[in-house]
Amino acid sequence: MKFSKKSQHEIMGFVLIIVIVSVIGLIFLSLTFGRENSLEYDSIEISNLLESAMHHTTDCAVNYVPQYKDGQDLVKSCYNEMMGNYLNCLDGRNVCDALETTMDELITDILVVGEDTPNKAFKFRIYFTSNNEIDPNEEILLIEEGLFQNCTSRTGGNHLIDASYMNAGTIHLDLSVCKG
Amino acid sequence: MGTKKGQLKIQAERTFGFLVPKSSKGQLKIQEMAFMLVAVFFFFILVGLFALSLFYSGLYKQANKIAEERTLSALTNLANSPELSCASSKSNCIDADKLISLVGNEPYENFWPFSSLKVIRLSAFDKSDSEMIECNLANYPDCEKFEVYDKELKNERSISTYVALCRKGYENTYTYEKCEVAKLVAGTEIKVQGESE
Repeated sequence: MKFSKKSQHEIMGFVLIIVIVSVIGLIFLSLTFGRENSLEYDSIEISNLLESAMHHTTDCAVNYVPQYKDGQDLVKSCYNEMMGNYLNCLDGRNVCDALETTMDELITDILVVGEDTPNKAFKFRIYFTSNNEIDPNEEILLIEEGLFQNCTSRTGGNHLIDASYMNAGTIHLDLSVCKG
Repeated sequence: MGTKKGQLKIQAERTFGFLVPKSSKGQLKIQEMAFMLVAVFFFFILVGLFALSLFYSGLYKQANKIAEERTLSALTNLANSPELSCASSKSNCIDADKLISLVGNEPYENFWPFSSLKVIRLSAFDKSDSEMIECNLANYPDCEKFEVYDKELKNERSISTYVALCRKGYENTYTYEKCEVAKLVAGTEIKVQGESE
């Protein structure tokens, strides 16, 4: 098939327009849908849950009964233990083990994960960030249940605990939930 | 006369030749271009409509989210109000000992802008409303649901948030603060269009 020079130019122009429109469309679509899939850490409900969990009285007593530690104290004690200051509950459990057991029970009781439930998976993470930006984050606790696959939406919240008196930094609590 | 007319015609063709189609091929090209312009115009209209629909769907989603957040903030403020807040000045914390004295207290129906208000303890999260043991002064603290009031409206939407529910505990001759996670549930009346206030 032979095209004249003029029609060749026309075809080139047309292809160029199609390419430009397609690229703009793709950028637009990726911006629109990419934003929806991004993880949101702004759910007040989840943040309130984390704050309440930090007030929750645990069954780990130190010194005497009933001097039970609440969630926040246990997180700080666990971080202290990671720094070398060992502390056990009166029943002999390690504070980090007590924290893990308490938080695991609490979160799994509240966010029931399963195929027939609205929550498909969750990831709960407690970590320390130093004010000094060079130091990497230190993981205190990580609890995961279910798989973050085929989530119709993802929600999450966070809560901060001031740890400036310990090691000049902040303890972060992040909880992300996959809704099905 | 005939020659003059013919000369004028030739002159006109020379002057405005670019406006007059020279052949049927030229006419076809103009037609093609017109169709192309119309197609491009409709294409951009469709793209515009698609973009607008996406933009507005996001806007509605955002508006609903903001409305929900406002209601949740109102609930958090409620938990921090002097009538319910914990003595230890913890934020987002409800004092169960204060709460039990408010159960069934009718004047509070007009005090807070909610049509119903209740607090559910952690042990009853997986139970239905009828299965929960309602709290009163006789069975407190061995109960599950604190029903402050309920206007029993038909058009009601419930919103809930998590709070810490604390009470004074007693063990080994010591008193201490025992806290647990609870759910603060408030009902708001759904306004139906056309209904008077």
